Amino acid sequence: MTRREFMLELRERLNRLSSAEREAALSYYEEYFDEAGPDHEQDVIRELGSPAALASRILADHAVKEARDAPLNPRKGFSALWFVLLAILAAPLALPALCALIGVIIAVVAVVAVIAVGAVGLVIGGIALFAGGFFAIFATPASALILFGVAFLLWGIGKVAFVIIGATLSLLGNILGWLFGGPKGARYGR
Amino acid sequence: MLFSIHSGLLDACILAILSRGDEYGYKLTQEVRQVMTISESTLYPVLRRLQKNGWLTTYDQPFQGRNRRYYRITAEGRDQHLLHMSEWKDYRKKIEGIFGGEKTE
Repeated sequence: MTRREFMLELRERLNRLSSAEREAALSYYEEYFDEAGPDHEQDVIRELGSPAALASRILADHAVKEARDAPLNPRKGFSALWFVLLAILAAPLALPALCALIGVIIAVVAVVAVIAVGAVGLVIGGIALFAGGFFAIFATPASALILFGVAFLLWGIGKVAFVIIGATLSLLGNILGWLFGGPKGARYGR
Repeated sequence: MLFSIHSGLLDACILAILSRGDEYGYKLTQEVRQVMTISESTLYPVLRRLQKNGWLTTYDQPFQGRNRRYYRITAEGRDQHLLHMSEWKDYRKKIEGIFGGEKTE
């Protein structure tokens, strides 16, 4: 890499800086090359490292300065005030809506619980019928087969019910996370 | 070198060198490099920071058809330099106390 290439790449990588800052940095390193002399061009390049590394040091220093000078969340207090005002104004409408929402959620949870109990029952029943089938297998083979069939059917329905419950619960969790956790909850949900 | 260079120490060295007279970037780097192992790229951000703090100013002087940018210490920079010196005295006494096994009061 030649000095020219080095400086060109450095310029490119510093293009986030204001032009005054960028020119100041570039002229410092141009001067540095001049002082070291053309014979030591490669030494300087080796010593400075890659243009990318050098640029990131300069930018990092700049970023620290920027962060220190930046006002602390200028809009936060303002938007919080608006949010509180909005909440107060919306309360007559929002409170019944919130109650309704909570009611719906409780209803969904209840339905899920009923299905879950049913599913457990189905699976237990299936196992019982399966066992019954074993006892009947020698006395009445035909009824044993029916029992086995029904047992598997119940078992299958039970499994499907569990899958539905699982999906409903995770959907509910996502909705709750989205409602009360804000964007953070949604990100963690993913 | 065995001991790592804290940026405060680097600031103190630069201000100390400039308190004896104006210097340009290359010369300054070489002088600091005689006593500490720092990369040639280290000094620019430091000089920039000291300048932003108001501890030094720059001016250009023509040299062989181009410009040399000289750094000059300001009055605030001299105050800072004095502060560094007194802090350093204190620090050195404590460190040497530990090294020499003497009890500090």
